[in-house]
Amino acid sequence: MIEVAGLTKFYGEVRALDDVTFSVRKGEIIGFLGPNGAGKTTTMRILTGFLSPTTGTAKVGGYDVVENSLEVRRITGYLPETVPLYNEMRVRDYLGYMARIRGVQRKRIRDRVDYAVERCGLREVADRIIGHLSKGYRQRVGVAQAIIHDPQVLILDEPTIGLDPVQVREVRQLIKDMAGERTIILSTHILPEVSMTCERVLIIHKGRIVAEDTPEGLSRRLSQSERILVRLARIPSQPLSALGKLDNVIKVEHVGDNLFAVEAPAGHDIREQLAEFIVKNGWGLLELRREEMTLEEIFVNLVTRE
Amino acid sequence: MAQVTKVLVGFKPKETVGRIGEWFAVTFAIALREVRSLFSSWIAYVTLAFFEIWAGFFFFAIARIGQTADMRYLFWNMAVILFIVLPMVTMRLLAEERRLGTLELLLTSPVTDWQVVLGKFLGAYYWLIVALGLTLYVPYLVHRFSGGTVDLGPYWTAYIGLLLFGAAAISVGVFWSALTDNQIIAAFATFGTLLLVYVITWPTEGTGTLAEICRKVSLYYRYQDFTAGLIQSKDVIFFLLLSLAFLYLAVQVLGSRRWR
Ligand SMILES: Nc1ncnc2c1ncn2[C@@H]1O[C@H](COP(=O)(O)OP(=O)(O)O)[C@@H](O)[C@H]1O
Ligand SMILES: [Mg+2]
Repeated sequence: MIEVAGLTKFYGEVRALDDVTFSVRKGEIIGFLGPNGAGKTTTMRILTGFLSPTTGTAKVGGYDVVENSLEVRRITGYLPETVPLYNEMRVRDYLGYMARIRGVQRKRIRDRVDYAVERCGLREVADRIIGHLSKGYRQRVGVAQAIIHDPQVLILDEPTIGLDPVQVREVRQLIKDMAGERTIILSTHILPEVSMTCERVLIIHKGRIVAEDTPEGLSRRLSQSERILVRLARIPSQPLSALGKLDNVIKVEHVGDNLFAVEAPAGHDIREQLAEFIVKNGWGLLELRREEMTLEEIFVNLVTRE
Repeated sequence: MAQVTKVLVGFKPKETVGRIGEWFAVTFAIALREVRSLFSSWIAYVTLAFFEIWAGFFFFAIARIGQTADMRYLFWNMAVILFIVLPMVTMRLLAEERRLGTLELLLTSPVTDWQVVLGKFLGAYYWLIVALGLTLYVPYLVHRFSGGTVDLGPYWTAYIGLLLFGAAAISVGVFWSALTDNQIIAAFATFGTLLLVYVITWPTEGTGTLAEICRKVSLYYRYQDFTAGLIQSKDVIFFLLLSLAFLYLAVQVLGSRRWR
């Protein structure tokens, strides 16, 4: 559905994108993950025809974003990072207007507005003035305008930024609900977001794609070490150095009150050995489990390794 | 060539008319939103009030104090007031959308840059029509109180002149509004441009190449003919081409952002 090849973008001297290549299958949700300034917005603006690439090509639904920009825009829904809305308009009027300029036939506008209002949970605020809405509702209006013309492709730039946790959950659910029916690209610099909503993650850093995988695959592929968490009933005087002397233990950390993280090289299962040692010393083993690496750690890992 | 044949063979008049209709319908939708937005802010009313009060004042002065139905002086001043208030009407057109970020939505929708620029132009043009419409009491009162003896012809040509002059002025405003997202700068630049063509009117008296050139480029000089009851096609074409030129420049400015 989306094919991006060798995309490079310069803003004057600043290279915002550097040879970015990726593709998205029909119906897939992919997450674009990267810190601020990584080039997420730039990529999305190129895909939506707002900017042109310096070199490289991008195709959406088989249409080139430069050559056939209007066709691309017809099948794409876009929510920019800033959630641009006309504050003086009412929600329903705004959606009707967006439907019109997104090419919805006049007689179908009412149906489409009703659909988007329903879909995004905007019924109670549909006749309110946008300027008076809470941030969570504004965001939903933003999503509603993006799906108003029933686009095949949905591009959402940081759709949950600036929302409170409840609102974040709602917007994520909204996006997840649309999985399968549309091809979705969403960007974020919040790591748990992609593991919660996306099937595949592209990690972008300084304008380059540095990793691409499923959220789980990524954490598997990148864990060079395994961390075992142990909770002890009685904390000995020198637990760190005692545990550190065990075979294959790289590092021991005191992470909570009575919780310790023991790190071993990948492929070495030290759990049995660890359990025996703790029991033998009578420290009272309450819990022992392998810690999955979070995307956050993977990210830091990738970025610092470069 | 294949493309040309395809277009020719596939030409369906009805469909083409439908598509052109749709093109304008969407353009009007953009214009309508602009009108609503303009008239939901105080700027529309302050500028209208300013225009109407000054126009009313001149009318009163000419009719009551001057005791004449020769309204050339009034129409001339209407153009001058327009160049003071129109920049305030046009400054927000694209600059406001850029500031709000809604320009990004507009330009990533399946509308062409021409539709956006034309829609904005028409939005501001609506203000002009309202402003001029509210002065129609002038011909009405003159007609009524003169018992129909005054020839209103020059009035109507003056209105046509104002509509043309206004189109050019609004296009200049659209252009500056496309260029900067600072509304104050957009307003002053528009005002400055219109002032410049006003100043150029001064040396149009007399002979010589300078006066000749000034007569050619001065909006006000050309507009004067209209207030005298004269519609010349070269003047009409001049105003239309000038409007088109500035709208074209605005389209170019919008398009250039893609490469920045
Ligand atoms: N309009 C612009 N002009 C100049 N530089 C820009 C512009 N937009 C973005 N940049 C630069 O390009 C880089 C990528 O920005 P962006 O795509 O916005 O990143 P992200 O969305 O991942 O935070 C940053 O270094 C940013 O400073
Ligand atoms: Mg961004």
